[in-house]
Amino acid sequence: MPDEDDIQTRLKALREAYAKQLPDKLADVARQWRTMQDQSWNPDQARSLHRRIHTLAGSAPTFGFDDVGQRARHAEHLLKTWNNVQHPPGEDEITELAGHIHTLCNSLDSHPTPPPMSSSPEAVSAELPERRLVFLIDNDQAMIDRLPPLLSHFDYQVRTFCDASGIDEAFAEERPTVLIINPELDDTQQGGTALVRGLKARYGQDLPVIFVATLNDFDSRLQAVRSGGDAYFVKPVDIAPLVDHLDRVTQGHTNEAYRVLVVEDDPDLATHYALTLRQAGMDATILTRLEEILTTLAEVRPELILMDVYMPRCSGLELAQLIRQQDDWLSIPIVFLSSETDMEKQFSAMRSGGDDFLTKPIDDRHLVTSVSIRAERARTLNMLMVQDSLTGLLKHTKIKEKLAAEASRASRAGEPLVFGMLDIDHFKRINDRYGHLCGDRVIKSLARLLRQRLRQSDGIGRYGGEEFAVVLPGCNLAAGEQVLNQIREGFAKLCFRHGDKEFSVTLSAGIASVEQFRDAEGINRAADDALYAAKRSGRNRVKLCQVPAAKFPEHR
Amino acid sequence: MSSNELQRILFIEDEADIQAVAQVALEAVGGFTVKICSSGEEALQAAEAFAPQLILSDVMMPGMDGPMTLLALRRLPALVDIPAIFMTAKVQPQEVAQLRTAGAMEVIAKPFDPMTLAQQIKDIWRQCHA
Repeated sequence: MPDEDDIQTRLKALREAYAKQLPDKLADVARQWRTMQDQSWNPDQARSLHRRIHTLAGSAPTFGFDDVGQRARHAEHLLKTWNNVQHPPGEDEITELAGHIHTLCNSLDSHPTPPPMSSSPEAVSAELPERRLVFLIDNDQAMIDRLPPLLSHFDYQVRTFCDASGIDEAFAEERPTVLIINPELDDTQQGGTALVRGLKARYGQDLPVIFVATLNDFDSRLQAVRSGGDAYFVKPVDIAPLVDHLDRVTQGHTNEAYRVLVVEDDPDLATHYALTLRQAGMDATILTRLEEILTTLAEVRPELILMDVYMPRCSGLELAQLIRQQDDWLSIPIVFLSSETDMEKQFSAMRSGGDDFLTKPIDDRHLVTSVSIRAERARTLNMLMVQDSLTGLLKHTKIKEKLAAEASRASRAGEPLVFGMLDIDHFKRINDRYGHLCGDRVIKSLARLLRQRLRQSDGIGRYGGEEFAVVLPGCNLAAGEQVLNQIREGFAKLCFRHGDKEFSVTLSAGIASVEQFRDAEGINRAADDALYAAKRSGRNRVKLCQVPAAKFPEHR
Repeated sequence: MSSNELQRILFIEDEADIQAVAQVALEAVGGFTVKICSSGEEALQAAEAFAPQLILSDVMMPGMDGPMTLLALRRLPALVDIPAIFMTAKVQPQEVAQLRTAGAMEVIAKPFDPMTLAQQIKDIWRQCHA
């Protein structure tokens, strides 16, 4: 039997080496593309670029850079078509490819580190999301001492300054994501706001600024607003709302583009629609080969489909029905495009599953508005359907569905999977002592911590009250234990404030794995039992289900 | 029975990163003996001496691509009936069909999971020897 730890260590080293080289690889693609644009179309160059991007599509996800892989795949798809036909591409096509290559080469800017990808506990702990950089300017030593360690639990890295000296050098080194500043700097009432005006003038008005002030009067707040502050907190600062605000500010930058699939058999028209939507900031993918619809849906996961009604192989109405027959795509909005103005026919299109009917030729602005409004509504509805309103995590039924789906997938594929149940210790006491609002803050903090510490592919749900559930695919019992212990320790270190009282909270957790139980109910029950064992044996701990993997009778 | 157990794999892949992960996946996790070649040409030179039981090859490589390499390898007397598996990033049904026509018994999608790649190969091996 090979040494599991040794393998994980080696894989981790390879991942790290790859992560280091990736920026260079992307820069190479960008460089080659620039060279190609400067010259006339050269099929050899195109083939070599294709190979380079194809390689990225295959290797990047192997090392956890799924996003890079996905983007490479889009660019590759186009290049491949051209290389097959051997004639120089048209201007629109070049523009389209340029867009894909641009997003590919910049993929590390929005996602600097990959989500941890393997069952290795080291990977899960070592590859946390990139710490976001915060500059804190305050002459109040208590803030300088207290804030950085607190924010580090939420993956914010803080650089502190007690006055304006050295701040420009620091900006030159690395621009912070957010600036937190005391408006009453230099002991003058407006030292901080004046500094903010200067910094915004030099480094851009879009720099988010949060004021932490002693004064709470109207004039001070007005000064802060006038200097372009986004938020104003009065000391002593409660960490939870501050982090809420930081999260909101930093998430604004990574607000995901709406994914739209354009199904249209006329390539020129398809390109035109896609470009129009992309210019409006949407992520549009073109499908001209209808038989690829199901694989494309799975790959692109669109939030809206824009579809031509008249296509040679089958009509848009038939295709809409075909899509709707898949449970996964039952609720995706489909917007038909056609030159049809006959109301009867439009209604018939709606009946077969279309949500709207746009008449060609359509004005670009109209197209963008129609599509983005529907995509936004679909996203909001989808969130309401699946998310718990307080925490934004999956609702009880959804996390159970996720467990059932992932467990059957994992046992089919012979892959590990861990299910964990977490419960906040003595939560009732917090509610009784500090009130429900304070209890809600504790719950939200744990939700945020879980989201930050776990991977995109993990399922995180609020099971009820103060109880949470996590589904960790690809993770064995030992790795799951380590991950949950890190979360438990991180949570215990969080400091909550109520009035002038500070307190911390612990949690207990129980976990079970798919290797012990083949069915979701068995795992669920076992994790619940383990959670109660953790509670009974003194709380603030993670307990594993003790059923041996191989001997269990339900095994296969 | 034991002579039928998979041990020796000829692995053809031009990218160093993937070579390294696959080496861990195949040697350390899977316990196979692996000969890594960075190109079709290199594979042609090394194949007979190594006497693989299985060929595992990337599809898209500079110079000779995977199918071309396989075609050339199959001309070597010792490799006439050695089964082959292709690995590729873009697995679309029609491409899989093409690769099978080119002589692959299976196509494995990239990215692969280094912890399960060996098992996947063992399963394919067992199926084709069942």
